[in-house]
Amino acid sequence: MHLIQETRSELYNILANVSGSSNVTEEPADLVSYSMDSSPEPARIPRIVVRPGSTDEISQILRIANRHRYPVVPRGAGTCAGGGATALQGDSIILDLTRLNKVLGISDVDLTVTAQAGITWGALLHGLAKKGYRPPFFSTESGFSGTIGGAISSASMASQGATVGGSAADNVVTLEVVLPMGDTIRTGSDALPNGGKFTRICNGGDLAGIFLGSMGVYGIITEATFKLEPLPEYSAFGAYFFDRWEDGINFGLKMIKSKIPETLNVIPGNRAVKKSYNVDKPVAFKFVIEGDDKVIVERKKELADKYAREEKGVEVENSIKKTKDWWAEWGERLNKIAVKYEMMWGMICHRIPLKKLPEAQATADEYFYEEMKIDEYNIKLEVGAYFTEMRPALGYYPYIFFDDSDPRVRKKAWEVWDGWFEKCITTYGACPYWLGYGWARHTIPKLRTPVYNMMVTLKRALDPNNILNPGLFTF
Amino acid sequence: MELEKYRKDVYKCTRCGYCREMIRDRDGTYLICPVRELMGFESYYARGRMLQARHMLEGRMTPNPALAERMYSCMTCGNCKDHCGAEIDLVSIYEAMREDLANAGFGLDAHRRFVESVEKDKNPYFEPKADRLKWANGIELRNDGKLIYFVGCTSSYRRQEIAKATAKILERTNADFRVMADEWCCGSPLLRTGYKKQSLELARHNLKAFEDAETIITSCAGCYKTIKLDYLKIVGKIPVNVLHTSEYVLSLIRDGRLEFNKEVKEVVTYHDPCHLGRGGEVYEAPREVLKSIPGITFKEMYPTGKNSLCCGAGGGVKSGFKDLAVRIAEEFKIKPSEQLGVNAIVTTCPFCKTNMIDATVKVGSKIGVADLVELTEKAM
Repeated sequence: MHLIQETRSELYNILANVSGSSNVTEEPADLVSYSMDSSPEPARIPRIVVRPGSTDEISQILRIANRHRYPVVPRGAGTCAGGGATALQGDSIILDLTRLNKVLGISDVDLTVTAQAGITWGALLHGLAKKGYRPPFFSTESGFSGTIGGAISSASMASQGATVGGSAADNVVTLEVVLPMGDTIRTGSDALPNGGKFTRICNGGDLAGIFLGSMGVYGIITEATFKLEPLPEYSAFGAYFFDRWEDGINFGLKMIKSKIPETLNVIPGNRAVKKSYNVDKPVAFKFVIEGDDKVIVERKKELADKYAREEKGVEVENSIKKTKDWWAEWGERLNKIAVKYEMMWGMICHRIPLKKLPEAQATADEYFYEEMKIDEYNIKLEVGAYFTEMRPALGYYPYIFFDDSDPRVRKKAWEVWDGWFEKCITTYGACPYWLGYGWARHTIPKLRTPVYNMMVTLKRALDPNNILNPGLFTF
Repeated sequence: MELEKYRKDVYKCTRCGYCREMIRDRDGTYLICPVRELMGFESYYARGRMLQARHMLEGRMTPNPALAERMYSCMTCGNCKDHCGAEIDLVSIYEAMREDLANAGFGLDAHRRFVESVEKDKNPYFEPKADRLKWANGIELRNDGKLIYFVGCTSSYRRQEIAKATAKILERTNADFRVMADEWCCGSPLLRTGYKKQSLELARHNLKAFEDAETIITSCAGCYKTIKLDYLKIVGKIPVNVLHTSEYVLSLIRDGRLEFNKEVKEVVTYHDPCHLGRGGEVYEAPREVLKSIPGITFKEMYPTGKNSLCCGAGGGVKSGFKDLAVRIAEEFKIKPSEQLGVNAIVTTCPFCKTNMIDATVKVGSKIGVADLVELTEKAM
C-alpha cells in the first residue's frame, strides 16, 4: 500500500510485477528503516526492498536477480545481533520475508508444527500455547519479535530452553528452501513426494544441514517444520553459588549426566556473581526443572539440591514463583538491562565446552576491563552462559552496553565488540553459532583450508552468480 | 531542530522489534501497530521511525514529502511506546519529528487547514464559531456552575448526539454545570500534527475560563488527554479536576445520583480510545458503567485495555489519510466485533465513533457504534 505517488525505477517495476507495487519500495524514507539490525554494525542502505508473499514469488525474484546480477539479502524481523540482516552491497535487493507469516499446520500425531519462515516467535508461541504445545527450543536471543526463518538461518538460541532444546536449528524436522537459481527444494522425509514431514536425516543425507546456521548464503528458507512438546504442568527453580570453579563444573556435569534440568545457566566470574547475589564467589548456577508429574519434578529438585550440596554449593534462590518469573524473563531480559543502563547493546555470544569456561571468563575480564578499558567509556559488560543440547557444551555471552548517542563511545564500543570476535577465536577457540557479518569476517577466513574451500565450492555450485548474501561469509 | 531534544532517546533504541510484535502475560497479545500491519514496511512503525530519526539527526536525511507521509501515517496511539523494550518515549519523538517536518514546510495540507480553521473559527472543521452551541437546541444551558462540560469540537459540530446525551444526563442528575460560551478547540489536532506553538494560545484561553470551576468533564478522549496532560506540561498545574464523562457518570452511579429505569437490550463490546486508555489510564470506568446498565450483555474484544489497538482515527490520520483510517477500523475493530457476535461497539470518544461508523458504512456492516453516554441516557 502506498499513500502517495512516488518515482519508480525499472527494477521497481519488474519486482512490482512479481509481488505487487504495494510490496516494493525504493523510497529512501523506507530504505533507511532497513539500514541496521540489532547490532552495532554501521548503517547500510539497500537499493530496494521487496516483501514477497509466497515461495513462488521468491523463486521469481531470485531468477530476476540472477538475470540482472543484483545481490539479494533475505531478512526476517531484522533482529540479528551481528549485521546479518542488512545489505553489505549498496545495490542489494532486501527480501523482507515477514509476509510469510502463517502457521501451516500442527500435527498432534507427528508432534510437529509447520510454519512459514517469516512468522515471529511471538505469533508462533501464541498459537501453539493455545493448543498446549511449544517447540523444545523456544528462546532465540532476539526474543518474541524474531522470525523462525531468521532463527534457523542463524542457529539462534538463548538462555532459556537451550539446555534441552539446543538451538532453533536443532529442532528442525524438514525445510522448504528456495535455491539461489530459483529452484525450490524440500528436505528430510519431505524430499519424497509422499514422505511427509516427520524426520530430518534420510533420503541420502542431511540436506537441511546445509542451510541451518548459514545465514541465507546457500538458499532462502521459506518454510520449516519443528518438533513439538506439550507445555509442562509443574516446575521448580533453584540457584547455588560455589567457592571454586571446579565445584561448579562438577555440579554442572552431574546435572547434565542425570538429565535433570530443563534449563541450566551459569553466572560466571566474581563480578557477575557479586552483581547477582552480592557474594565474592567465582561461579553460580541457576536451574529450572519441569515436568508433567509433580512428584517427579520434586524428586529431580531434591537430586539437584543433593548434587549442589555435594560440591559445597550454597543455595541462594529457591521458589516456585521464581520459575514463572524466569520464563517471563525470556525475551525481556536484555531489554531490562538496556533500560537500566539506558544504552544500546552489542551481543557477542558463542559456544565453548564447559571445561573452557574459566579460561573464557578470565580472557573476557582481561580483554574488556584491562585491555580495552571499557570503564573509561562507561561501557558496561554483562556475562552469562547456558548449557545446550543436554551436554557439557555452553552458549557463552559477554554482552556490552554503551551510549550509542555519543560518537566517541560508539566508535570505541564497535572496536571492543569487533575486537572480541578476534580475541576469543584466537585465544580459547570460541565457536560462533550465528554468523552475522561481525562474526563471519573474523571466523570464515580462519577455517581450515579444505573446509573453507569446500564452502566456496558449495557456494559456487549453488549460486554461480553469487547473488545471495554476497560477502557475508567473505566470499 | 525539535528532534535534537530527544537525541539520547532515539539512540536508546536497540531495534529489538517489540514495537511490532510482543507477547505479554497479561493477555497474550502480540500485535502492536495497526499501521505496520497494513502498510507492511519497516518505515511505518516505531523501529523504522527511530532509524529515520537517527538518519535525520546524523544529517543523512532531511525533511521530505515521503518522510512526512510515513511520519504522519501514525495515530500516535502509544501502543508502541507502551511495549517498547527500551522504554523510549516514542510518541514525543514522533511529535517532535512532526514539528520539524511542519516547520520545514512538509506538514500535510489537511493539517495546515486545521491551523487555518482553528485560527479563524477556534475549531478544526471550518464551522462558524457562532454555531458551537447549536447542538443544544431545546436544552436549557446555564452559564454558571462549578462543573464545566467541555463539549469539544467533534461533539459540538459532528457528533452532537453525544453532547445532547451528556447534557441530558447532567440535567437529570441536577448537576451544577455549565457549558463554556466561548469554548475553543483544546488544541489536540495541532499538538498531534506538529503545530505545538499554534496550540498555546488555545490552551491559555481555555485555562483562563477554567479558573472559577472545580471540575471539567470532557466527551472526547483527545480533549481529556490534552487538557489533563498537555496543558499540565504548559502551565505546570491544572487548577481544576479533569474527568472524562465515563469517570463522571461512574461517580454519579456510585453516589446514587444516577439510577437506571430502563433496560437496554444490546450485546456490546468496548473500544478503548487511545487517549483515554493508554493516555489517561482510564480503562475500568467505562466498563463499569456499561456493565451496570440493565439489559446490556458485555463481551470483551481482544486485544483490550492497555493492549487495545487504535481505531485508526488519531494523530491526524483521519484527516491526512482517510482510507487508511477507515481500513484500520475495519480490520481491527469492525471485523473482530463481528467475530465476537456483538451488535454494537461502545466507545468513549466522538472521533473514534465517527471513524468506526465510516468503516461500518464502507463494509456494509450491521454493527452499531455508540458512545457510552448515549446508552447511559437511554437507560435513565
